[in-house]
Formats: sequence, structure tokens, C-alpha cells
Amino acid sequence: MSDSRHICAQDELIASAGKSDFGVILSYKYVGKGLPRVDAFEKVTGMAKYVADMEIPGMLYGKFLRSPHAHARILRIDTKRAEKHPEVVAAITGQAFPYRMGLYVRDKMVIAKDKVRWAGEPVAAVAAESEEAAEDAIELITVEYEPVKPVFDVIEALKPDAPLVHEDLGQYEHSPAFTPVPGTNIANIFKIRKGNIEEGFGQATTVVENEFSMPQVSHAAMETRACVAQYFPDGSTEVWTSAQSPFAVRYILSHALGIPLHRINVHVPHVGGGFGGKAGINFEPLVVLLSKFSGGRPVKLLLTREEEFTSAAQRQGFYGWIKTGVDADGKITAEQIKYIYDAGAYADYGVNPGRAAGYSCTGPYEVPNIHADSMTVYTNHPYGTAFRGFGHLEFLWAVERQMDMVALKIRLDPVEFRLRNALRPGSITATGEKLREDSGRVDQCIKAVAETIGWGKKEKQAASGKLVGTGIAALWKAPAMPPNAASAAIIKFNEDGSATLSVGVTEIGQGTTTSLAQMAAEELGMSVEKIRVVPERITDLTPYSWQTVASRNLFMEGRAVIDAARDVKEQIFEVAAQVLRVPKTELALEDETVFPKRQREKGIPLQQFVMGYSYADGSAIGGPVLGRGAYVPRGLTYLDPETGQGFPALKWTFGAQGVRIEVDVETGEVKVLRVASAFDIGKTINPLLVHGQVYGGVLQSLSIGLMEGYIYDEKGAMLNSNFTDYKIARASDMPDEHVVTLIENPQSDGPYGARGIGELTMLSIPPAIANAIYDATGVQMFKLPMTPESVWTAVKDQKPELLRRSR
Amino acid sequence: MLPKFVTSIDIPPPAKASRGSYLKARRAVGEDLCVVGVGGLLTPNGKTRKTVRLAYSSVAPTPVRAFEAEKVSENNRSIDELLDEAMPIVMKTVSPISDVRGGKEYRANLVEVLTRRLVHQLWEAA
Repeated sequence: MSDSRHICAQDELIASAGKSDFGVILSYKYVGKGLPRVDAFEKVTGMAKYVADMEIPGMLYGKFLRSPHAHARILRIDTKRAEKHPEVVAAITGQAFPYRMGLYVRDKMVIAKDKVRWAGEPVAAVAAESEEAAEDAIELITVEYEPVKPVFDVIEALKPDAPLVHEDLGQYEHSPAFTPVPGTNIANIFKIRKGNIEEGFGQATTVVENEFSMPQVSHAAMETRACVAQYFPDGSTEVWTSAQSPFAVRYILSHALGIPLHRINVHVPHVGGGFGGKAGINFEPLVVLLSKFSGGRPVKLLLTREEEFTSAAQRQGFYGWIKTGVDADGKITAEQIKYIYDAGAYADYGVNPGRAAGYSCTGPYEVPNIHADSMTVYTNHPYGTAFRGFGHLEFLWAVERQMDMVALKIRLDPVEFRLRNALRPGSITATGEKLREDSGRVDQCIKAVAETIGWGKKEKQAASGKLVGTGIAALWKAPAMPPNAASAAIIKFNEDGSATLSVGVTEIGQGTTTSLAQMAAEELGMSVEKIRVVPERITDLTPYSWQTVASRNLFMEGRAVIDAARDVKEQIFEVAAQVLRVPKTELALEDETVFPKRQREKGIPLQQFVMGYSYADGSAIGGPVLGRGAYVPRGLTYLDPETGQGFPALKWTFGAQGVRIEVDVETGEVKVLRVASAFDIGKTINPLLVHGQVYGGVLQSLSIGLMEGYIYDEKGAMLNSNFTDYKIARASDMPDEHVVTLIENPQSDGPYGARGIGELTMLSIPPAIANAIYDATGVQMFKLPMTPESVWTAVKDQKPELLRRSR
Repeated sequence: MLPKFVTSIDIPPPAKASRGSYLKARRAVGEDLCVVGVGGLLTPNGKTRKTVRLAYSSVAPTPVRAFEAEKVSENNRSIDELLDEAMPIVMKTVSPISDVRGGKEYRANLVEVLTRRLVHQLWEAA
């Protein structure tokens, strides 16, 4: 069963009309409607083609050899026997490409050279006529290793005598937003210094400190990483890849391989799930190199599920320590924070989740005095990358547990404690940003969840004898991206008056392209059915988008689409003004008709303008209409390296989540009975898609909260690299009831007032579950995942009387 | 000696009015291998007596029957008294290990908890 509520801030909507960049109006024809996805038919029927499905004539199959060691020097690699295999066309090692690459830090090898840094790192690769031959051939490669001492734990990795994962860290190029510390394993340290920490703790009457952690987890996208590439003898390169960010792939490929940007064309067809794992760059450079060394034949690499676990990037592990000072009124006076993200072997993209966590470190609360260090630390684990929620799921696990534990210590209701400290318009964030009047309301989200989850109801024991508890947690997030991350859109018309919308955001299941079609239809006064959103991204043709990440694209591509639609209208009105002999400012476009305002009967069908207008005698004016739109954030800055002060956020999306659970203390099983979520998304563009995001995000984070995590042996080899032993939640793990509340305090510069939502939906389920476990049992959980075994162990250690009583 | 092949296995139907059940501990509701499984069959034996068979999975190299524990005699005792006597015998029958699916101690706990639940379930339904 599910239920949904809309809290629409009508007063504010009316008040903002005319004030908003887009002249917010109260009724829309397409925006706000729960229309089906533009790609529904092809995906549901199996028509949609993915890179994993691709076969092209002459295509070879790639396979890489994985390091069995977590940390070892490569003394010698012999590929001769593999090369003699009759079906092998090329066998390459790190010698083929001894350079580094990366999105933010150029620290990553395409193929390991000189040393391996995790068990699973590619050390050699082959291209062969068949997949079977490629599999056989990598077995023929011999590698001589000299193991060196590995480091797996981030705390150990920070010790002065820890083995160094990157001896040459000081020589790596990196974005100015990051601060690696050469001679250590610190890939980045981000600092917040706000107010005066000593004075802040001096004002506190209670101080609470706790440690929390979570392991690495897998994106587990249905389509594993897949790429087909062809390097032509003239140096031009075609790449088909299951990627979120074709332009980032092209940029990093160009920089890494030295191929001019305009000679690389990246295609992204349908993508079988990304969740951040297909952002930045993955195996594309390896496949291009295999093609190059195969005389320019196309090569395909499709990862197995096992390779996806052991050799592709995943979500970083996390350790957090928080010390909170709170005064007699229940106001937080100071917070000292240490977050450590386990980068694994490389941090090319992975330096950024820790930075994003650093500038959002307090959660959605106002803290006047902050001393926070958010670090990203190299270890000999598989390397980490972006994952839906980008550093926030991790630190909110710590912050929202800490909020409940502080509330418990000062005997204040956890909802009341959150409301007393919630950020509100006018509050100052950790980076010194004063929240705008239109920046959304976390207090409303918390209240909505408290109401819909049944906060304060005293039922503690289910009829089954299981213990029942309720927990709540709040959340916030802004897009983590460079201050100049840009988006664009192109609208072109067809002879029949239909339109084609082209955008750089990839459709990875989130549904943005459907929402963008709705915006285009709304702006152009034409039916959404007549707008085709180009399904494939082709960097030669597609307008630029920095990346499909960060819950940024509905907002930023949305602004670009509106801009492109305005450009279209301008061009059409230019011609129509001549035809209708009225000033263009007096023209309107609705229902696919251009007409003088207040003289609808004089209207001319839009179709007659889109290829240029032809008079009765055949003479024509104008020409094919082609609209372009662009958007780049305004006023964002890099943050001060010493204090973290500055403006990181295009927009903040606030929310809260609550759960009602039952705990079987004897087995440790936790069943989530009911979930309530509330988000202030400014404006719902498509409620069907928003609900889809919420249900999916909740299940994904419930899965991370209760089941998921990489498990290693003592040598750093992964023990559960398959779905038999790496559990992910399935449909039957879905909670019985889910109430979604959408709050709409419009963001004046958002498209129709909207903010991003995709990632937010998964941010605070794990702490809400843990808070509910405490409510049910009095047991505190500090580590994810909260498996039945870990919950039973915690009950046994903290509340053994519960076990005796129930027996 | 010539190798011998198993050609058939005969599993007779349970005696009339028998009740059986299987409890499985798993890491996810959706789908999982067994962390500990307990199977039981309760058969009325005369008017007042009952016999119980117990079998366990994932706590030994093969599925095991707790033959010795099954011999615990009723003697007009309460079900909990019977279980208190039977459980230490069951624990000697099984040999759970720690692996990626669960720790030894947790598995031993599940053997105890699930056995008690299962026997109660069968007893009370009988």
C-alpha cells in the first residue's frame, strides 16, 4: 500500500508570481502531470538496446587479467604465450600506456604498471576473436609479483609508518578544489573552520561523542560496465559506452590518451542503470587501447558480475567521529567532526564525496562553531567513485544517529531536538552561506514525517511478540560539482510541426528526459506527444552537459530547455510578426497555434512556421527553426582550503524520512513495516516519476542499511563477489506501506520552482532504521549493515535481558 | 568390489495426522541461501504421546538428523522442559562454522531459537 500527499505552499506560489525568473503561474498543462515515461514502451517491451547488446562487424572481445594481490610490485609480465593463441589479436600490459588519468586527480592507471594497488586491478588485457578465446588467453599470461605490505583500514592508513599506496602523490595533477598531502595516504583533506570551537564547547552543558562506520557497497546496476571502442588509424576514435557522462568520458579520454577532443566521438545509447558508478570514466581507455593494438578493429568489453565487484569502482567505505556540544536549551553550540572516506586504491573521482560531505558536514542543522576535517584516504581496497547520494548517505548515517543520541542524553524528544536546530531561511551554513528565503524548509519535512509515521504513538510490541519502534532522520544535499558545471539543450522542428529535443543528460532510469519533454511542451504550447527526446547521446551532435550526476539535471537541463524554448518562440514570433502584422511582443503560442493575444481567431498553425513561412505565391521567409539554450550556475565558488568558506550549492534539497519497524531480538531480524518520506522539491514536475524515485531510493538505501557490504579475507581479496553472498534488497523486501509527502516551496531560479530529488530519496533510511531499533529495543547500532547477525550481537552485548525474557 | 549406484530412494509418506514445518534463517526476505534451516515432523504416537523428528541444514557438512535428541522421552513433562533437555543434545549433533553467511555463535543461537519455535509451533498445532 502506498499513499501520497502534496503540500503545496499556495501562498508562496502566488507571492512569487512575477518575482520568479519564469513568472510562476498556478496552472500548467503538462508540468505537474503524472505522464508516463517517454522511454516506457521500448524498455518494457525489450526493444531498447544497450551497449551490452551491441555487436558490430569485425568486433573483438576484450578481457583483463586481475591482480591476485592487494599490494605488490610487478617484477615481470610475460604475454608471449597469450599472443601465440590463434584467436588472440593483441595482448597489452601497463607498458602500452604508462600515463595516469582522472576526473579530479590524475592518479589512476589504465592498466597497472610497476605495482598493483588492489586485488582485482587489471594488470594485462587481451583482445581476441571470441569471448572464450579471450578468457583462455588471459590464463596464459604469467606475472611475477613481489608482495608488499598492504593497508586496508583508513585509521591504519593515516599512521605515519603506514605503507604508502601512492609514493608519487605529490606529482599528480589535480583540480584546484582539492588538497592531497604528499608523503601520506591522504588523497584529499577538506576543512571547515567556522566560529570558535573552544568557545562553542565552553557554552555547552552536555557533550556527546560517537563513532560510526559503513563498508564499501556496490552500485549493482543491472547492466554491468560495458564499452565498445574503435581506434582508427588516422587517430579518430568512436566509443559506445554504458556511461552517465559522455562528455566527461570524452574529456578524460582525450587528456589521458592525447587524442584531440574533436577526434573522439562518444555514443551512449540506453543505459541499464548507473547510480553514480557510470559517472566519470571507467574502462573506456582500456578498450580504446585494445582497439589501437588490434590494428583498429572494434573491441568490446562487458564486465562479468564478479569483475563488477572486484575490479570496477564502488561506493567508498566510511568512518565518522562526531563530538557535539549542546546547551541547556537544546541548541547545538559546537561540533567537532572527523569524516574519513576509504578511497581504495585510486581517488580520481573519489576525492569529491569527502569534499561534499565536508561542506554539508552538519546535516540540515545550524551549528555556530565547527571544526571539521573530511578526508579521503587511500587504502588497498578496490577504488571508490560516485554513488547516488555522493558522500551524504555515509555522513548522514553518522549525523542522524548522533542527533538521536544527543537528544537521548539531554532527554529531549528527537523530533523536537531536530526542529530546535533545523536550518531555516536566514540560517548560516557550515560554509558561511546565508540560506535564501526560497531555499526550502527542512522543518516542514520533519513535521510531515513525524505526522505520517505516527511519531509518539506508544505501541511497542506487536501481536507476534516482536518489538516495534519508530525512528526519524532528516537530510539535505546540494549538487557536488565544479562551480562552472554547465548544461545545454537544442530544440529543432520537423516538417509536420513536431519537435526533437536534444539534451546531454543521459537517461539512466531517473526519468529526467520525460520531465524535460513536459517542460518543453509547456513552454512551446504544444502536445508532449509531439516532442521526441533523442534517446542516444552522441558527443559529435548532442549539446554539452558536464555530467549526469548530483541531482543537477532536472534543474540545470530544465533551465536550458526553457531557455531553448524561449529561443524557439523568439524566432517564430519574429516571422509571425511579419505575417500577422503585429509587434512580436503581442504574439502568443498555445495549442500549436501562433496568434495575436486577444485575437485567437487570427491564429496560424505553428507547423506553418517551423521550416520558414511560405506565402500563397510560394515565396518564403524565415527558415528552419533551431532553438538553443544554456545554463551555468551563478555565483558558485571554490571553497577556501583552510576554512571551507564559500558558496558550493546551486540549490539545497531538504527532506526527512521515518520508519516503523519490528525487531525479532532472538534472530536479529528487522522488518520495515512502514516508511514515510517528505522532501521540499519546490515543484513537482512529474509526480509519477518522483514517486518512482522515492520508492527506488528507499529500497536501495534500506538494502544498504540492512544487507550490503564488501567482505574481505585478511589479504584483501573479496569474499562475496556475487549476488549469492552480496545481498541486495528485492521487491519482497519492500516495506508494506510508504507515505510520500511532496512539499512545494518554490525555488525562484529553479525551472517552475523545482529542485533536484533523485539522490535525496535514499539519504536517511539507514539512520532512521537504527533510531527505530533503539526505540524498539534500547540497543544502539554504530555500524552498517545492520544484518540480523549484527543486530542480534548488539542485543546480546547491550541488552541480554531481552533475550532471556523472550525465551 | 564393483561400484554401486543408488537407483532409487523411497520416502514413505508421513504417518497419519503428522505435521511438519521448516524454518529458514536468511539474510534477505527476497531470496537467499539458508543461514540455518530447521525441519521438524511431529507424529502422534498413540492417544497422548508424540514423536518429533528434527533435521538441520547449513550447520554441518551435510543436512543432519538429531536422532539422539529425538529420543528425549515425554514423561508428562512440559514442552519447555523437554526442549531444555533436548537442546544440549541437538547442539552436539550440529557443528556450525563461521563463514561469509554467518558466524558460528550466531548459527548456534539460530539452531536453539528456531528449534524451540518450530517444536512449539508443531506442538501447539497438534
